Amino acid sequence: MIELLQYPFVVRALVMVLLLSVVAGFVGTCIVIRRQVFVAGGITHAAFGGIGIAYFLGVSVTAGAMLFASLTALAIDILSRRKSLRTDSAVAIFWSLGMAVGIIFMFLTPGYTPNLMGFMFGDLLTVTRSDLYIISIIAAVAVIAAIIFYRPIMYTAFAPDFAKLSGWPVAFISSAIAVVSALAIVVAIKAVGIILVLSIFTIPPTIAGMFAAKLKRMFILSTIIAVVGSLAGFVVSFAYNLPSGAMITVALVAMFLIMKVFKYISIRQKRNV
Amino acid sequence: MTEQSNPQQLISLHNVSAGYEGRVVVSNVSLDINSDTFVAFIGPNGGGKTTILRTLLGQIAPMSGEMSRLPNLKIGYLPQINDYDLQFPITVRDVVLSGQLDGNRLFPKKATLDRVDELLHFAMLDNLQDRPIGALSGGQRQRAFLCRAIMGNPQLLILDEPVTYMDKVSETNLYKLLPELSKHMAIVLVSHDIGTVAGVVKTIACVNRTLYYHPTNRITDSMLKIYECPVELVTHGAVPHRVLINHHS
Ligand SMILES: Nc1ncnc2c1ncn2[C@@H]1O[C@H](COP(=O)(O)OP(=O)(O)OP(=O)(O)O)[C@@H](O)[C@H]1O
Ligand SMILES: [Mg+2]
Repeated sequence: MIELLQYPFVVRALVMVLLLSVVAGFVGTCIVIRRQVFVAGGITHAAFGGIGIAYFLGVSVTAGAMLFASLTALAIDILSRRKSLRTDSAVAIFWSLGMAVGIIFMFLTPGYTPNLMGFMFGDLLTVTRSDLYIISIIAAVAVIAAIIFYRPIMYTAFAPDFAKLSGWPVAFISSAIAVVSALAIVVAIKAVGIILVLSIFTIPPTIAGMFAAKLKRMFILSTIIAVVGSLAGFVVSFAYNLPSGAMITVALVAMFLIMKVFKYISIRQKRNV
Repeated sequence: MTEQSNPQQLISLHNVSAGYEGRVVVSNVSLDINSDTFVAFIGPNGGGKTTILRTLLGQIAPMSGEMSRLPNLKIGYLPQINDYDLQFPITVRDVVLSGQLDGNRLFPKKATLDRVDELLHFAMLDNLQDRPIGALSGGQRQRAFLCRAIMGNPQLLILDEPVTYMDKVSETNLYKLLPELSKHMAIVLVSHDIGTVAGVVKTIACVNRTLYYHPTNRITDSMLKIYECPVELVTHGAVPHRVLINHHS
């Protein structure tokens, strides 16, 4: 196994897995505590619209997806904060619109046969150097912002009305988190695919939430869980030549089940003492 | 109770009406909140007490009339309904700290943390401070939110039915604390427990579709009849000498 590290594409994949886990731990925790898992799903699928348009125009797919996903994230954020539309309804509209736009533009693209499976399930072994630069920047921004703005992130997610009254820029923080989430999701699509992006952003924070009473711990614990789960998934997928995104998802769900049982047993033991 | 030397006007409402989605709930509300104001809002369910508070807070805009507010007014608020996510990873201590209004709010200084300790002690939450907020009882949680409202040393403290869920001890502690606080800040309090509250506040306002301001803390017969204030609570009041006096007008 170790000798595989002499192949640059394997190293790139491993670095991607590690950085993506950091992003998933921090951004995913924000998504989960803000109860925006469904919103994240909408952004993911809306990104597909950007991919289709970028193909059609022959421009950078990553840039197209990032722009489309960010605009969608902002639109959902603003609409749901205005309370003029239910959040889940707004999400459903953008979710399906993004998919529709993506399919139409791919259809219109002359000589089209982009690898649809690639977008749906991702492939860690196709990670490029520039993907790594992008994910590094997002990871750095997420971690630094979480440290400096720890309290406003916590306060505005827990009690937005009260935070607003106390003078915190609630709308700005909410929009900033939406955009960073969108960018993170687009990078993750390349690695694990549209269908499985949600698993890496939501399963680790969900497991961490079972054990952490403090947001700080939840950030750190979900990062560790994401690293362990995605590394395990990646190694197994590589060894048995299985799709990496799917294997990572299975590994994370397995961790979730083990932790659930572990928690159950530890509660029972406490009761018996 | 020492009077504040130069009471300053914080908020002024003149003939204000307020409501939701174009429907007026309260109208012709005129009220000045000064730095020495200590008023209780009483009135029936649905009378519009919370609506007026939300107007004062700036959460809803007046539909007509004039309202002026001191810029950057520091407000502490205890909402009537706390529909927060009880699974949220935030400790009781951090909930209280979230009420901080001045100083370094990103990285709170020791003086701020000391004040948190003091408030937690007052609210008898010392032992529960590191628990997640969802692991508290309804009354304990209410006490934590009360601490959060007071934490920032606001210029105006707005408490919407603060004693809901509270036991007698906590309630008594609160009613002892409020007159102390009112030396430093304006207080607006909503309560259905008129008998007790009348003995604590300086003035009373009856809210039922509009606001009737009484520059006294005595509860009159007419107040209760005309404004449909809940009379039965008064007869059960804990402060006997405050119970009904006759008022002919
Ligand atoms: N968000 C809202 N949207 C529409 N109508 C509302 C809203 N909140 C309150 N109302 C209506 O406004 C009226 C006044 O409500 P408000 O909450 O101000 O009463 P209250 O005096 O605080 O009553 P309570 O003693 O029950 O707290 C009620 O008739 C209510 O139905
Ligand atoms: Mg009310």
